[in-house]
Amino acid sequence: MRLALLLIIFVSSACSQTDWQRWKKEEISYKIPDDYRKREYSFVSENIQEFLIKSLTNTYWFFISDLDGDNCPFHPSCSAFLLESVKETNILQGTLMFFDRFTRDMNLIDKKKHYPVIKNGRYFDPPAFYTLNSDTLISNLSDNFLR
Amino acid sequence: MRIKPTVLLILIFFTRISGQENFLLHSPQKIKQFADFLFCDKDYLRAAEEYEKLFSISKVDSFLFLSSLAYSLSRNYNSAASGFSRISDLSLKPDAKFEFYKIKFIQEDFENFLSGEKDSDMKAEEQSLKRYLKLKGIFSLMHNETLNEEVILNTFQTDEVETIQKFFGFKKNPGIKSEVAAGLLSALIPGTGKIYTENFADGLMAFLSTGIFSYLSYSNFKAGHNFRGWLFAGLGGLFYAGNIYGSIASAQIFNAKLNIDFENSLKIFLEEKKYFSPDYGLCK
Repeated sequence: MRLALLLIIFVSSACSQTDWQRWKKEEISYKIPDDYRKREYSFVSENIQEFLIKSLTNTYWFFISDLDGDNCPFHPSCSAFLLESVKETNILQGTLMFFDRFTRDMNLIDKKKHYPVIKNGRYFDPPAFYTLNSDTLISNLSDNFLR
Repeated sequence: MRIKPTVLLILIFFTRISGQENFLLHSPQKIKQFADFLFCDKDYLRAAEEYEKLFSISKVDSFLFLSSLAYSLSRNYNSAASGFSRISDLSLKPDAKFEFYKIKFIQEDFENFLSGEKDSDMKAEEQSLKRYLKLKGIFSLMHNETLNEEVILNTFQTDEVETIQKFFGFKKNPGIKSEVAAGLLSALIPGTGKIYTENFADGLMAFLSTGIFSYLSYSNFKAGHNFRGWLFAGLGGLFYAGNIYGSIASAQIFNAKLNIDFENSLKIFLEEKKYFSPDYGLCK
């Protein structure tokens, strides 16, 4: 009887142990993720002006931005902003929007006051704010400044 | 002494039977108690279902009113509006009608909201009408209707008047910036359009960038480096034009933010005042 009882206790305690792996320290990578390199380098464009700007942006990404690193404080970055601006408007308006953005990028003061900060810590500044279309502007501002 | 198992079983059986309190768990009184508890615990959706149960048993309009109120508080506006519109008890009708139009206001169904002015059921009670007129005043402020400040202010209580006066102040002098003026200013002196729209540092940067490229262009032309002269002139020109464009956009953003801030303040005020709903004294 005692032997049977001991056997039951031994088997039940042995079976309850499911984790046979020894606990160890979690391996953490402190490397800064370089997601910005996952860029769309394709030249597929809807029209000639988009193709021109895409070529210019791809050249800038390949020769300068990828080597220089992820430094733009804005989201989307200035090069992506140019691309999106041309897509949303036209090459002339898109270029003007880009030069305005570039001037604002050079300003190092007071950015927090003017732009909402998003999850990745960047200032959210999409082309939709600058197309001079008041309807798009109001809906975008309401969505992003009232969060 | 050894107790026989049969005696023990009988003892257990009787204690179990007598221990069971004899009451009806689903009696209307118990449902009402439970619904009131849920309502005061702000568990509005479940409270609404319990009140609905009571209404289906008793067909008393006050339960329908309470279930609609609970639906309204749980932001289930369609169920709430449908409940309030079904109330026929004359003593509850003015409040129910006010709550109905309040929901239409929240849902931005302004056509139905404005039809409240002709609703004789709501007008039957002065307080309900007054609350409705307050909402109507806010509606006028929101939709730039021709405003009679004195008439609107008279409907509000003394503690509300100051805030409403501030809203009127904004409507009279919103402090918007002219997009044309911003563009012209930047065309005259680069960056001043941005300063006009209160983006001071951006304005300074625009002035510096345009100035530096203009100077580089000038000095290169002067030194006979025509290619570099044209290159810097082109870049300077683009910064100049970009700044004029940016100043116009900046004025537009400034104005849009003003309007959004105003609408937001109105919404916060309305939320704080619970859209002028009275305290029905349900949870003391």
